[in-house]
Amino acid sequence: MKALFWRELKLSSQVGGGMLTGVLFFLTIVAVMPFAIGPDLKLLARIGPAVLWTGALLASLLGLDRLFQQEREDGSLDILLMQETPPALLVFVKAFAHWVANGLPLVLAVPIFGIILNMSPIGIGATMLTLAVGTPAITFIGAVGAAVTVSLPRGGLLLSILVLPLTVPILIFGVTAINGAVEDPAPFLPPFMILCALTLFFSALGSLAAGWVLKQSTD
Amino acid sequence: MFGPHTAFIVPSYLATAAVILILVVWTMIEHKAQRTEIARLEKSGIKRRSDKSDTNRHG
Amino acid sequence: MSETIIKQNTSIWDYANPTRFLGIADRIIPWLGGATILCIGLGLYLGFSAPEDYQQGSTVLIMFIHVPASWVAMMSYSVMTMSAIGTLVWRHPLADISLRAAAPIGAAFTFLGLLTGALWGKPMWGTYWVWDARLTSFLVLLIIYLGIIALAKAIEEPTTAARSLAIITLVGSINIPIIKFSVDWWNTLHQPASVSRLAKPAMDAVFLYPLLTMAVGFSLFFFTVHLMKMRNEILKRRIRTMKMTAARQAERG
Repeated sequence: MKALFWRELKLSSQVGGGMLTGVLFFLTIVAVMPFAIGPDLKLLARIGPAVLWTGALLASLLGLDRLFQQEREDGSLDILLMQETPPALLVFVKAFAHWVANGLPLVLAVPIFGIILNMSPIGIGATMLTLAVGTPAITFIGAVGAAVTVSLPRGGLLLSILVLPLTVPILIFGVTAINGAVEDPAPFLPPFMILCALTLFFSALGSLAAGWVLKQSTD
Repeated sequence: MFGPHTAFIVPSYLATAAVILILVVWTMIEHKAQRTEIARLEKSGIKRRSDKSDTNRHG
Repeated sequence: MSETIIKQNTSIWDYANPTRFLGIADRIIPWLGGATILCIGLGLYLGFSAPEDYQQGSTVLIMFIHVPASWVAMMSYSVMTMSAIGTLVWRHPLADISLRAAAPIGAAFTFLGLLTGALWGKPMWGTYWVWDARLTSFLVLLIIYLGIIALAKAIEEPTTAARSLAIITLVGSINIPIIKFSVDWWNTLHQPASVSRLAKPAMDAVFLYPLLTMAVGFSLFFFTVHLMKMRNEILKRRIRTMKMTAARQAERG
């Protein structure tokens, strides 16, 4: 499993400059927002968490269509699935490695973007924390979409359509938790705990469902 | 006709009627096209795998 | 398709045979259609002869189509969820056909629910759209429906498509309550009590009867079109196999 994890990590950071593309895409979204909204720093500070979360959500969908595709094409996916390991565990490891390669850089890039958006240090910290907890859930939901669209020639676009509506709860609780940390009357802990619960729930559900689909498609 | 809100009531009913009609007509056109296609294929001598006799055919 | 059916002595499995299903559908559809027309006609008559509501005025007429449409939109997703379970657990060919057939109808009614809701909201709340919990989760439901339809159109091979559709539908069905609940939560924190002034008094029978009649009518309509679409889907697959056999014969001879 450890070997698989490292292999995955290497693979997904190589694909199209993986890490860098995601962060660059994230930067583009964040940079484009002020052009649309205007340079009002107060307003930007207020909507900053929402902008960062939306950007991270879109950016983490970016490489998902390649999660299983390449390995399906060269046949190594079939070999992996034929082994003793349950497919759900396989998907879990793959998705987690994908998150470390693509999701974690987004989290680490938040401080820079937060300064551009005039956010307070507490806000930036809260955004990093919620993104670190919340983006894995997006990856795990995305794994189901990736497994389902793996055989399609232009699956990436369809994957986004299928996955985005399902990520609504994560977005809501992520941004709510940040607002809770920044604004005084609103609580931070309850939405944050729900976010944690969602991530745990989807890591189980997503792995099981995606593993099942992959197993079936190789039969 | 229905007081001050006619401008909202009439479009609602029209839209509902339109959607319902489109659903039904579209499905019926599809059905007709498929029946003709099957008839055409059968005429050219193609049979279904599971079709041993034509007795249970209908339509 | 039909080889995968497990033959059992119980009669319920006999109806699963696509050919038998076609025969039964052909017989039932005209009756269901007739009942639908009668029911909606009666509902319309009852609705238009109802007096104006003291609070909502004549816009109560919109309720008679808005509420049933929204109910059917949700019912359609539960039919799809049950079909998805049917596909995954019993590998039942008709379950997949039912899922595919229900998706466009569900999407159409979700759209209708949103549209009539907007037209009802303008005179009642003064705006076509609010980011209220119910509206938002319905919008998400519409997007989920459209995604499922897009997926169904994208995958050529029927058995792969069946499993993929079933999984996505099922994941969606688990997620819809979560979306609903999270949107509720989100709304309570951000805009307290701006829309909830739509008071819901115990409904008078004058309004309840037309509403229920319309709801039954819309449900009957759903089942009629659902059956018709299932019939189409079976025929479509039959054409597909026939063409494939023809191609194979042409290759051989």
